Amino acid sequence: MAEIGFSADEARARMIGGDVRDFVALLKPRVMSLVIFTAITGMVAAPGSIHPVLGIIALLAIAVGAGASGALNMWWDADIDAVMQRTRSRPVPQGRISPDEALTFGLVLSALSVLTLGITVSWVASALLALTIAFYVVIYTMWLKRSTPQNIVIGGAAGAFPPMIGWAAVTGGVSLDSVILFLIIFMWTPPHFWALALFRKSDYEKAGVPMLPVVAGDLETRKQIVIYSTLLVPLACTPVFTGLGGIAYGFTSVVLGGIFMGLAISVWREGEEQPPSDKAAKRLFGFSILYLFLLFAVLLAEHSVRHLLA
Amino acid sequence: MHVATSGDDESKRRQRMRSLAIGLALGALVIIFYVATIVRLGPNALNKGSMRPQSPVVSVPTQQAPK
Repeated sequence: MAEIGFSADEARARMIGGDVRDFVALLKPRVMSLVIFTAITGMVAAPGSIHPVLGIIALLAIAVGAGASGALNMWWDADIDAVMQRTRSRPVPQGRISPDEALTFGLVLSALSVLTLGITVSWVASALLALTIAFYVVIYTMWLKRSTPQNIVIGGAAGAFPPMIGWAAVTGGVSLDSVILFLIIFMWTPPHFWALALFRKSDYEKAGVPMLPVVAGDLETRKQIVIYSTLLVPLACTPVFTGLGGIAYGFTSVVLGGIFMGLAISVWREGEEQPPSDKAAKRLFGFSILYLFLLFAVLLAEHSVRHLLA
Repeated sequence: MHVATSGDDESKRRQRMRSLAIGLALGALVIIFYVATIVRLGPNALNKGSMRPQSPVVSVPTQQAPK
């Protein structure tokens, strides 16, 4: 982690100290909400049942664990966050929270969330949560992010674990269906983040983060988006064949997959424009969030109905 | 001097809020563990008898009758 300098305003903010809201911001609440949502889907889709109170405790622990890894990410990346437009208003680069406070906050919450999940619900789920935090902080943030354009391909695994943790909280183990849920998010991550990187390229360039468009160029990134989308779309349909997804899921995954593929191809074609407008990349980025949300929402709805009818 | 005082006040207010948040979080943790214990132990949670040491159960192999 590099040292960062502070302006007069930042020095004053540093002297006053962080507000509670700043500590909440360290938890990356928007990422947390997606984690909670995919973890709930994993829990509801898993065979068997869990006491509702233990289910809520498991979700809380998973959410806090995800937030803790976000705080540790902000501690380590404060220097590049200060350079990038998208992240410069975060509490650490602004000086409202010191790097040491962010580190302590992240470590304490990591330990508490992992132990709480293990003691109250399941040690398998707890081990997966610990792995997720370690993967995101050590493998992605500290190692891959600044060293390879494949950073989000491998690092994407960290964001893919929550449904698997939710599943393990109910069943006490891992199965093919939970691995499929993991793989869907894993394969979704590259086209999602590369679409973002295409129109935020200058930000990453300034910060020295070797995202694919910075290192390999726009055209290669657009080609890779199509390749990963081609892998993602059929993969997202596989729950129908294992019985994890029903008719509604099958229909949704095919229709949304077709739209996703169409947008990915339009991102590829956009690369031939001089200069590329990035409109298609922005459209794909926005749609990719909706795509993942709807896939998991339909799965959640189908399994909720199955539970009610059982 | 005035600026320094308002900074101090703001600093103290934020410190109080942080302390309150830590207190609430710890209280929530205590409640979580209390409730989880009740849920996991079920009806046995309030059964004082279950706290008494149990006498060891010795399993005696039963002899099978010859066919």
